[in-house]
Parts: sequence; C-alpha cells; structure tokens
Amino acid sequence: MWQYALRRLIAMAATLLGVSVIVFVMMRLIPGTVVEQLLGQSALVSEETVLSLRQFFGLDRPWHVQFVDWLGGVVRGDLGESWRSDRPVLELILARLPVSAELAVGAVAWSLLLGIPLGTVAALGRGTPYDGSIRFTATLGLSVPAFWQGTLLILLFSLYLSWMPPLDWIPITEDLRGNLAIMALPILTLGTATAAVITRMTRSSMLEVLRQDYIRTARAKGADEPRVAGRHGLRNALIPVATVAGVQMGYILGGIVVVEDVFNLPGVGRLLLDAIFQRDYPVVQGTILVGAALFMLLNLAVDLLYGVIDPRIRYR
Amino acid sequence: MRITRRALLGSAGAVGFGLAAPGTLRPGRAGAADGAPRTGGRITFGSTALPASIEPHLEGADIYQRRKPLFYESLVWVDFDLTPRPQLAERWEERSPTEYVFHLRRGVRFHNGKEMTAEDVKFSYERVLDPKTGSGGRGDLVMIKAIEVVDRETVKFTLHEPTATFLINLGGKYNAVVPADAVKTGRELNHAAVGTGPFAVEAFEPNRRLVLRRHADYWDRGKPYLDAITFQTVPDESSLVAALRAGQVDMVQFDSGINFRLASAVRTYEHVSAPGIRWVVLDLAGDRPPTDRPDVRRAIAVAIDRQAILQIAGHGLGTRLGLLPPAMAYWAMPAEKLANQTRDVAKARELLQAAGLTPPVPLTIRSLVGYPALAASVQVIADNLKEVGFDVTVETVDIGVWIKDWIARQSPPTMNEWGGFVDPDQAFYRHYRTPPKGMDFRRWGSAEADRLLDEGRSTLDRARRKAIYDRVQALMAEDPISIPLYAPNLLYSVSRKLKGFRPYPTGFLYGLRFAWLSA
Amino acid sequence: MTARTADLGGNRLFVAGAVIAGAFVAAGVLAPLVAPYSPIAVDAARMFEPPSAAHLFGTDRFGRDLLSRVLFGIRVSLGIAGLSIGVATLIGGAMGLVAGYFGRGLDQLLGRLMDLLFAFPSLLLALGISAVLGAGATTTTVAIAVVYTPFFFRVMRAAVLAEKNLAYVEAAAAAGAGPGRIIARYLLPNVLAPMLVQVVVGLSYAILIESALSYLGVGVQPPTPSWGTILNEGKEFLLISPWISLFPGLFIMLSVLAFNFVSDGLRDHLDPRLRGA
Repeated sequence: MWQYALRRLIAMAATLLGVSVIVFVMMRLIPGTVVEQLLGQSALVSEETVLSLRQFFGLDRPWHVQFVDWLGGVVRGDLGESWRSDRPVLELILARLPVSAELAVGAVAWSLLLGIPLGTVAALGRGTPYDGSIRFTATLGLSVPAFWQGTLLILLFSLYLSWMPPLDWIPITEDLRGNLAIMALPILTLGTATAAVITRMTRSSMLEVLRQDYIRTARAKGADEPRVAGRHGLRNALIPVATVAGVQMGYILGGIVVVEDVFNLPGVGRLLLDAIFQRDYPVVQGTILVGAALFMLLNLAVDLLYGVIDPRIRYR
Repeated sequence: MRITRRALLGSAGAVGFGLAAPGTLRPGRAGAADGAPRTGGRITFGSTALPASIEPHLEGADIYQRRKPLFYESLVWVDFDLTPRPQLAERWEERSPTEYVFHLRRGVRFHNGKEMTAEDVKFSYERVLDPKTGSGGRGDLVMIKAIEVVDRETVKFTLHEPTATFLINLGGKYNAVVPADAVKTGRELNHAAVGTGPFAVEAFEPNRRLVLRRHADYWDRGKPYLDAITFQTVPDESSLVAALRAGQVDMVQFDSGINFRLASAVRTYEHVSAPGIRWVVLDLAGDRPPTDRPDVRRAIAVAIDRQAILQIAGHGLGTRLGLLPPAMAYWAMPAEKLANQTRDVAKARELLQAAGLTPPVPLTIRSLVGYPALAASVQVIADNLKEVGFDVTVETVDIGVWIKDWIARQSPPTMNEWGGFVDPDQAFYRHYRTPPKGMDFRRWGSAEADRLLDEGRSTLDRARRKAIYDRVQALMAEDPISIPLYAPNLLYSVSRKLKGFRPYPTGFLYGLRFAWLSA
Repeated sequence: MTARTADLGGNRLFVAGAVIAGAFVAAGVLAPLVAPYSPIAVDAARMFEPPSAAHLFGTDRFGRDLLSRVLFGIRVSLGIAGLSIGVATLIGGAMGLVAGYFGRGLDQLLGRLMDLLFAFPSLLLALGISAVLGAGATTTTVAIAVVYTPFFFRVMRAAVLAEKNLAYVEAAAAAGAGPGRIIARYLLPNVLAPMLVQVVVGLSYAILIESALSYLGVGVQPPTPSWGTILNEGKEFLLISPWISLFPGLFIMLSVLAFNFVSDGLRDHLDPRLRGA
C-alpha cells in the first residue's frame, strides 16, 4: 500500500508539472497582460510607458526563462508575489483557503446527508410514488445552473424575506452563527447538484446490491428488512457512492469559482477569477498549482480509504 | 426595513415614470448645515468593486483614483470649481511662465510619522516623470524640465515651455507625495500606503476591502472627523440596494441609475445625483473605410439618438453631451450651438449617399468586455445606425486587446469611456494632436486642430484660451471624429447620520475629509 | 435479470424529455416565425415592462421583448451545445477509437494527453480557453469542445477495448479483414449505443457550461442572445425586474432536464439491468 501511494505521488508530481506548463502557456496566450490592466482603459500613455512596465514585470524575457524562473521558486517553496498587491501568493491562498474549504466540505457533507437517505428510500420503495418523486427531484437538482439558483436564493432572501447576511466574511472560529449566516446559502447552492448525483448513485447502487446473493441469503435466514437494508445493503452500496463523491470534487472545485462569485465570498475561487481577469500570472499559477495538488491528494486519500472500507481491494 | 411586494411594485412603477423625467433628484451638497461637526465614529462604504493595488503612481483604475485622495496628497488639489488650490504647497510664486516656486506647508507628517520635506516632493514627481517607472501620469508632467530643492521647505519647478495646465496637472490623479525613502524595489507601495492624507491605510485586501483610519497628525488640524472608513465590496448593485435597506452601509456609490432610483425609496438615506466629468463616447477611425470620409462620420453623428442612449444606458441620470461635460461649465459649449447634434435620419441617409455609399454599409464597432454602460450604448447605436443604412457588427474585446490597438493607433471605431480631465487641454491635446506632440489616437490628422491645440496649450490667459477651445469644439462637431454621447452623474446614497459630505465633479471622495457622524 | 418488458416508449420520463427537447429544437429552428418581436430591436418607450399579454416574459432595459430573446436564445445556447458536443464526439471518438484499437505507444500518448485535460475541473478549463481565445460564440464553442473531447475519448476507448477481444472480432481478423473493415463493420455499430448516451449527457453539460461562461461575462457577448448572456444582463436589474433573471434560467433548467430524462431513458434501455436506476 505504501509503495502504491509513493507511485501515485510521483505520477502526481508529473501531472502537476504538466498542469503548470499548460496554465503557464495559456495565461500568456490570453490577450493583454497585467500592464494594460494596471494602466486602465482611459490611460493616455505612449508605447514607451508600456514597454517599461513590461520590463518591470519581466514580461520581455522569453517564455521558457520566465517559466524556469517560476518553477525554480516553486521547488524552493516560493510561489512568488502577486503582481498587483505584491503579497506572497502562498499567503494570499492560505488566507482564503478556509472559506473555500468550508464551502467544499459543507457542500459534500450536506449532499451526503441528503443524498444517501433519499437514495436509500427510493431504492427500497422502488416503483412507488416516493421513488418517482425522489428521482424526479434529483434529476431536477442536476439540471439547475448553480449561479442561477444562487441568484434566486439571494433574491428570495434579501428582497422578499428582507434578510441579509453580514457584508464581511466571518471565520467559523470567531462566530459560528455569523459564519453560518453567510455560508448557508452558498453551501446549499454548491451542494445541490452533488446531492442529486449522490441520490441517484445511492439508489442504483442499492438496487444492485439488493439483487446480490448474500442479501437473498440474509433474507432467507430470516433477517428483518431494515436490518438487511442497513447492515448488508447500504454498507456495500456505499462503495461506489464514495467513488462518485470523489469524482464530484472536480465539479465542486469548478462550482466554487461560480458560487464565490455570485455570493461575493473571499475564497480561493474568487482569488483565481480576479487574478485571471487582471493577468496576475503568479497568483493564477500558484492558485491552480495548489488547487490541483489538493485535489489529487484528496483523490489519493479516497482511494486509500477504500482499502479500509473494502477489504477485497488490494493495492498493487 | 421590511419591503412588501406591493411596495416593490409601487417603486417599480415610480421608476418607470422617473425615467421620463431625469434630473429630478436633488444634486449638490448632502446633509449641509447640520450643526457643529463632531469627531469620532466609523462608517462603511459599499461598492461593487475595489482596486487590485493601491500603488500611488501606477494604479490607474478609477475605483482607486476616487479613494486615493483620502490617503495620498499632492502639491495642489483640484477644487469643486475645477481650479487648482494649495494642498501640500501652502502657496506658490510664478517667477516666470516657465518657473514656479512652491513653498511647502510646514509640519506635514507622513502616516509613518516622518516629516515631509522638499526632497520627498522632488522624489515623488520625478518618479512619475521617470519613463522607467511606467506611470500613466508621465504624460501630464512632460513639460517639466527640472525639479530643484531650494531648501527644506521650498521646491522649484522649471518648465520646457509655458503650459497653461501645469498647476492642474500637478494635482493630477497619478501624483502623490511619498517619502523619498519609501521606494526601494518599486513594489512596496502596492499594498501599503505611506501618504500625508487625512486617513492612513490600516488594512487592504485586494479587490475586496480597504480600511482607513484617522491620521492623528494630519496637517489640517481637527480634521478628519471620522475615526475610520471601511470600503467593502458587495456582489452587485442589487446587493447594494439590499444592504441599504438593511442599514448595513452608511454610504454607497452606484454606477447604475436604475438601482440608484430604486435605492431612492429608502428614506433613511439622502440620495445625491451630481454631475461628473467622465463620459461615454463613440470614437471613429480616420484612416479606414467607411469612417475615413467626413460625410460618413457626419452621417453617424446625426443617426445616433443621444437622448435614447442617455435614457437606456444612463437611465436618464446624466447629461447628453456636446463635446465637454457640463461639470466643465466654463469651457463646455452647449450642444445647441454645435453642428450635427440632433438625430436626423433623412440627413444621415443623404450624407451616406453623398459619400457614394449604397446601403447596407458594413461597419464594425468595438466594445469592451465588462463595461455595462458601453455594452448598453453600443446596442442602441447599432440599432440607430441600422435604420439609416449601416450594417453594424459589434465586436466585444478584452481590455488587453483594446488598449494594445488603441495605443498602437490601430483601433477600429470603438466605444470608449473617458474623462477625469478638468481642462480642455487635458481632454483634447494628447487625444487629437498629431504625433509626435500628441497621439491623435483616431487618426484624424486635422492640421487646423493641431494649430489650435498648440495655441491653447501655450496661451496662459483664461479668456483667450476659452475662445480658442470654443473653436476647437466647433471644429470637432463639424467633423465628428469622436462622438461624445452622455456624461453619467455621480450617484451616492448617504446615510442621514453622515453629515457634511459633498460630491466633487472629479468623483474624488475629498468630501469624506469634511464629513462627520451625528450623534 | 428482469425481463425486457418495457421499451423506450413506455418510459414516461424519457418521452417527456424527448418531447420537450424536440419542442425546444423546433422553437429554435422556427424562432423567426414564432417569436412575436425582433430579439434586438431597441424601444426606449418600453423599458423594464413586467410580463403582460403583449410581452409574455416582459421586456429588458432596451425595451426588447424577452420571450423573443429567449426563443432566439435557443438557437445560440442549443446551437453552441450541439456544435461543441458534435465536434468533441467526432474528435474525441476518433482518437479513442484509434487509441483503443491500435493500443501501445499511441494509446499511451493520447491517454496521458487526455488525462492532463481531465485534471482540470471542466468549468475552469473552459473558462481558461475562452479567456485565451477571447469572448464570443465561436470561441465558447471551441472551449466546450476541447473540454469534452477527453470525455468521449474515454468512452470510445473503453467501448472499443471491450469489443476488440471478443471472439467474433478476432474471428474476422483471422479471416483477413483489415482494421478499416473491422472498425466499420464490427466495432462502430457496437460502440455507437454507449456513445449516444454520453452525447446526450454531454449536451446537458454543454448547456450548463455555456450559460455559466456567458453569465460570468466571458462567453457569448451581447447583443447576441444566449440564455447565459441574458442572465448576465439581468444581474444588474435583479431587484427592479426579476423576470429578466427568471425566464432564461427556467429555459436552461428545462432543456437540461429534458436531456437528462432522455439520457436516463436511453441508458436504461441499453442496459436492462439498470432499468429504473
């Protein structure tokens, strides 16, 4: 298992390098640089001014020199500084990570809390109106654009219910109620699609398991139905659900960007979006590198966890 | 404050009526004559965007420039009537048209406690002037030949040639006096500010939050009155309205007239709509068909319904323009006295015919990603032009592409938003004077404009300058290479508890220096 | 295993989905005929009108009829989704076929490349690509196509790998059939079904991605009416005229829902074990 983990980590490093190259090239292909963003659209400047600013940011150097320079820093643990605010990129990310992490964990947690019971109920009551309405609702949840759902929720709460969350973000450690007042709607929005996926997956996985021999055996031995479903069914049905939950992290990461934008949350997604718009290359590269690394580590952790849940899995 | 559905529908109806009657809101001074000012208290100022950096000599964003005078200052500042007034310079002597001596105010302290000296002034203006710095304000100062420190409190500026706008340019938006030893790598001032202004920057989170705290050693004793100002972003302007209703902010600035009108129903705030000096404009290209022909340019000018653009893009809260905004009252010629200002579809068609073009005439107009007012204006223009025989393609580009082509003098006809100028020389010279002296971004190549602009720049007498710029405006209306559309008003909602705030046409928030919270 | 009692026609959700999707496509094709007004004609006298008999969905800041804009928006939103998924299917499918059939180095190379693209959350990758190419309908199409190419690559490759080693394919190869013939005759017909399901799933994702990009302001640009673009324009007027933000969103949701029902139905039909799953 440790060997397996090591091999995965090495592959991860290679992927991260590839991701970095892609991001690096893409950012430089995007028209315009930090210089135009800095000058603004109404600046009356000469080309000379533009050139000296390009020099200042080192944009006049060949791409590979810029990349090696950046990579050298990363290897030493230095992600560089933002070109706009001059703060260390790592500091910017760490300051905003709690927001995004809470959003992601909250969204996954509530989607599991909602999805697993609903999926189980649907599977056990297969063909009943319960099943039908749960399936319909789940498909509906899959079809709502997150940004639109967020907009409607804001409209509903701020306009019709006259309820506004605090303007500035409050850490969960400081004031739980204040924090939840801000985070409840974003978490709800971000988790909707995932909850729908989990519901659907739990249902089909549960149906699959209920058909298996050992369930029939358990039934034949006279175990009562809730016990069959809970003890034998759900536990086994959850393995594929865990996989799906892992895959959903990719969706969640993308969704974080949108949800943080709609709700104006000071998270990493917002940091990234702002940095892309402002062509703040070090921040974009650093954020994506850290994001991708976390994402892959999480997936590795999920995979390793299977070994604990499911003894049949062996790592080679 | 609880808003019922009925109240909402009611206010929506009111807005519908309001749109037909612009300018009904009270402009000017908010909360004037409200008893004696009192020191203390903190306010929250809501807006949809904050700058990415607070670098005094480099950051060009308008959202930054407006807030910057609260913590950075220059030798002079531009007052309500758009004339230069002493700020860090207590007074100045004009020894000759090319020699100015500034006597600095004594006892001015930076936020770090250090006392300001003539060295700091010299360093700061030279930094902006240095091409290596890359400041957008360099163009404002190129008339400066030398800056000399006479003594600790006196500094002398020598100019290459007499320049009417020299003093105003010293108070230009890219300038700020910083300590001479504050800049080493050139990046320190991106996120920390060391100025002399009434407030010091306590915390700055790029794009999100800016917290200012009262500068106890401020040279204007007793001011400012407020202890702290927090600038806070919200997701969009609807949220600004919601935040007003919930009383979460003490003051907000709106870009969109419609949300401002909606906010105007909240009675605990005073709603201020005041003329500004930014304006939305359609710029043509003098070197490419079809806008290389003056008749086509005139056709476009008379095809456009400026009033409809003001209604739709500006929600009626602003002024349709001749060539200069009404806030530049001394200089601006009224639209009625200028040619090609009113919509005349028949004339536009005739002009197209006179130019030898048969409809549909293809025309590409650029717009910028992320500028709602431009996107709204260009759609009205496209519709207007279609009616007279143009086939308009709207090409929306990123600011990076836009500015690259603009600076390289290759931009096709484009929507633009400019301003922040307080003198016609600033508004016209670099824009229309042919190279090498100006940039003539639109490739107009008008020899007469060149002559007039040179004359206006070196003439120091105000009345004579006025006559010159009247002729410039007449010329630009006659051959419209650039078609100003409307100047949006500055829109603020201010809590009734916040007294003494006054809007400035520049949009700069000088007014908060004199504002106080009532008990 | 359950007997195949019900066929597709008996699946009510599938039928509903197919009908809605069909209606959308028809309304899109016939937009110039069914839309009551021009989608771009400005009318300053009719700004921000709430829904009424004359304007079923109300009007926007330009006094434009929202129903007409949403109907023309079908062309843009579904058009972009269809085109981008079509391109992704062809390119991704072809690469998957080649990689799966010929295997070895080529498979390795293509596989790694696709893995790299897959490492990015799809919305972020699409955002990055449209930033590189500049905003607009064409570039949005390209961005979505690139994002979903690996998706179809994987489906096709897996399907080909599963079929390739089956006895009848090996028998054909032994009988001297060339790769072209084997692919055309034996592999393609058998992998088309799983691909079809994924194409429909892909369509629903593509609609969501396009709307998100346009909503964020980096996708389709005004005055072209895509659903996301209309929502982006409506953002500023959420309080004054919420209907601008309501109807395009409903249309996005309905169309995605329809495609989801269709893909669910197809999947059940193709894999009876999953019936009702």
